[in-house]
Amino acid sequence: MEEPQEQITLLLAQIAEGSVTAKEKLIELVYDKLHRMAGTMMPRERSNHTLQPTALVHEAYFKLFVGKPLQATNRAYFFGAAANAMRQVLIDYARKLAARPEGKRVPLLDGILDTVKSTYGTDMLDLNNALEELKRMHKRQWEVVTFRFFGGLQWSEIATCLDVSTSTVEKDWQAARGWLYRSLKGKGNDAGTMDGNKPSILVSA
Amino acid sequence: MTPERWTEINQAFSSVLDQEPGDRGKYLDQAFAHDAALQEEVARLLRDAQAAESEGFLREPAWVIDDIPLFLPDFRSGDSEFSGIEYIGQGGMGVVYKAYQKNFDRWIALKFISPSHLSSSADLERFRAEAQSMARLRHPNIVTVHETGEYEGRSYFIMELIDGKSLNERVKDFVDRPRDAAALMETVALAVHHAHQRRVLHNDLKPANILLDEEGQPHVTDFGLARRFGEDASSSATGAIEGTASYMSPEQTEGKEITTTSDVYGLGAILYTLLTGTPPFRGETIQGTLQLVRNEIPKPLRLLNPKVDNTLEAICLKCLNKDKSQRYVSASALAHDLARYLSGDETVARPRTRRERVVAWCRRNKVEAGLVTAVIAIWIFAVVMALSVAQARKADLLQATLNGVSFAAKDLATTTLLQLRSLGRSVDIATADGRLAVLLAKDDRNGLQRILFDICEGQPIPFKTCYIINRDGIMMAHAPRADNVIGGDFSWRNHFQGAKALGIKGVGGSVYISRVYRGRSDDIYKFAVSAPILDRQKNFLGTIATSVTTDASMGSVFLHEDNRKVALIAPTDINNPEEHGIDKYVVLYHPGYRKGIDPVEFPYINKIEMKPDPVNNQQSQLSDSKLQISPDDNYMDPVSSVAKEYAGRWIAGFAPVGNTGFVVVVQQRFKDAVSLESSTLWDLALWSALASLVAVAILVMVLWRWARSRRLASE
Repeated sequence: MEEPQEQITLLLAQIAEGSVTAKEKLIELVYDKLHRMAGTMMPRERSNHTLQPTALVHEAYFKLFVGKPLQATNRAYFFGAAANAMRQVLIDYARKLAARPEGKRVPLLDGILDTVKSTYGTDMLDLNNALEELKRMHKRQWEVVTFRFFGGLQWSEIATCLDVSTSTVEKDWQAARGWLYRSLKGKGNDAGTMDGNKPSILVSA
Repeated sequence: MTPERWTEINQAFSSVLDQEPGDRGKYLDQAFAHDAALQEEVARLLRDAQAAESEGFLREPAWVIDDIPLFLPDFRSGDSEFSGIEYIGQGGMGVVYKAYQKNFDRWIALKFISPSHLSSSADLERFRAEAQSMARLRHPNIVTVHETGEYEGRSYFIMELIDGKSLNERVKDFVDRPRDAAALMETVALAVHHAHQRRVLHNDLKPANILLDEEGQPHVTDFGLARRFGEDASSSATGAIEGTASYMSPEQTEGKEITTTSDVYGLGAILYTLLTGTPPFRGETIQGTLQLVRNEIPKPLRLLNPKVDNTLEAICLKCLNKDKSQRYVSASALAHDLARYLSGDETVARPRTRRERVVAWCRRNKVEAGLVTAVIAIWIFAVVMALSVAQARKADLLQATLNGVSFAAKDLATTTLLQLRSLGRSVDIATADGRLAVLLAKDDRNGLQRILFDICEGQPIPFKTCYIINRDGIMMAHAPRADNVIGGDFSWRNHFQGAKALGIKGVGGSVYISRVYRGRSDDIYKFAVSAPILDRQKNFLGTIATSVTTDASMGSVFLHEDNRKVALIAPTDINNPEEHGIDKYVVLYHPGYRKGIDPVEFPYINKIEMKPDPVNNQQSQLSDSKLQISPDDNYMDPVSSVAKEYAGRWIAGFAPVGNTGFVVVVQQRFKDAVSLESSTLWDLALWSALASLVAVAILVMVLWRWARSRRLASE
């Protein structure tokens, strides 16, 4: 088997050339890594509970690349893949938890699910269902949300991954997020609120 | 919704967003006037997007809590360029990278501060101010901040790179080494004090903020970076604060004023963690921990780690006092107390007991303590030697004296016995005169009287009186003449009974030495030498006896040495026929007797162990005694009751005079006998003086060293 780093470098090159299978392979590879790391990375001690998902992605990145910096494009691809992988790790975990609440817990992932729930008032599986619907309607918007929400990528980085302009990415994000908000919160559906109550986005973006 | 419809809506949505913000409402109204349904959909999406934006929906990525730059492709700081940027790790404050700063030719640590730590512009202002004061701190045990700046809207520090781990990862190394923990914290406290002197508080002292380099030297980092907890107590959900709460001072948890003593608390909390392996307070939740910090007293360290001693525990708990005024006044005061603890000096936290002071002084001044111990040992040795020499010498002297008095007593007893034998021979010769038997048989008192005069006056011995008693005990003759006793009944007298016993046994030729009695005629104490008078058929007819006074005859044989006194003990006879069965002894002769003093009773009958039985005595009285009487080194002279100069302790030797019941006593004063000779005393004095001299010399040396160390200390 090839060294992960070389393998990834190769995959990244293929992704740059537009290979879809390479993209999927990279996600698979990073998923493996993240999955294993998430399971072993328990919050070490209560007093030292500083290990955050950011650290997880960082660790994965630095483990796979032994700390060597990558070209900006490749980094974007990589973190794009990492975002996908991370989303997959999280969704798999949430599903498993829903099926067997008494199963083995991964405190790190529990923490993420709790944070998402408490911060945005939405369940991870509901969010994922909405995202699946979005994917069906508009795959790129789905990708933008994935990169942004599960990967923490900058707009420019997402633009690199998707080979579109940054403004397109931002507009996709606005639309996708509005739609997700509607789907999950059920607000703003009431047509009666529209008249005489124009959204301020029309006034200031 | 179909993808096609959604795409349509999106295109419309996008075209609205392409308009200048002020024109969008108008554009929406006009551009989609032909399609009310589409217009409605776009407007709705705009509303939803607006609502999502204002609620911050999905604003932060799912797990990227702190938005840290993931990549640093073109990182620059001022004129500096960097290479070899590598991720080191993530702490409470943000992400840390390692990088090579080309223009300074050095490796540095690049630390990005999490935006959540600098959420307001006031925070940012304060951060900038503090960053400047931190950059001024230059101390070998403080991580130097080279510069600060902002990159892509994120604040960063460029800091000295410490190759090593944080103390947080090394806590367990110190649990078994309390002294190393104390030494480490002394260094840390001095570093913190350095910052305090420059008006920089740390505010967030905890093991994670102490870096240990490869040599184990501590480097304090993140000075002043902690957010003011009082200002931000509600949003403390992140692990960073959780790690901090256990080390937070009570006043900090209450949002009160924070001073240098708050950092002293933090130092104490770290020390506590190093010594016990666990922070002073740790609750199930952050709020729980804060409650404990405010209200609880830390668990005594020694319960958690018995290797921690009283003093170190006291130092640590003094830091952790809830009352600021009870803590050390400064970090340097803590450092100095730790130093005192390490050098074995008395600490402020726990004043010593007197015993501990002595022990501590000895431990600190091993040479001096050794010398003082040696001095004391030499002194003790000298004293013990002197005492044992003196004791041995005294024991020797005592034994010699005991032997001496015993021997002298035996010698004198022998002499006395010889003298008695000589007296006895004279009496024995007298009994051989056949006329006595004839005259006694005839009961011729006048005849007997005449013969008695012949016998007595013909003798060269100083017989005091002589007398003849018939077999019934009636006095027949007395010389010198004493008509008042003639015809008297003396059958009860011991001298008669003794001689009669000899006569009835038919032994003859023997004499009897009587018990002591007081003479009827002259009232003088004396004893008699008597012998039975037998006829040819060995029938007992009577006795002839002569009395002996002690003053003239017996006294002359006695020793007269200056330091030895001689006494003669004798059993007494009864004073009248009615008395009987009384075994009494008197001191018959004693140099302390003066005229007019009656013999003193000798109370130690048990000592003599000899009760001469005139009737049943199987042995001749004048044969050598086989009796041994042990000497006495604690003898009280009974004569001291009438002659005070004989009071006190005596060493006495005893010797029986044949089997007469008489005992010779030779006595010597105890204190004369065992007093040491001057030569022995001189020897002892010499050695003692030598020992003292050595001792004084050593003590002077110790004092000199002590005084010098005091002088050096005061300089």
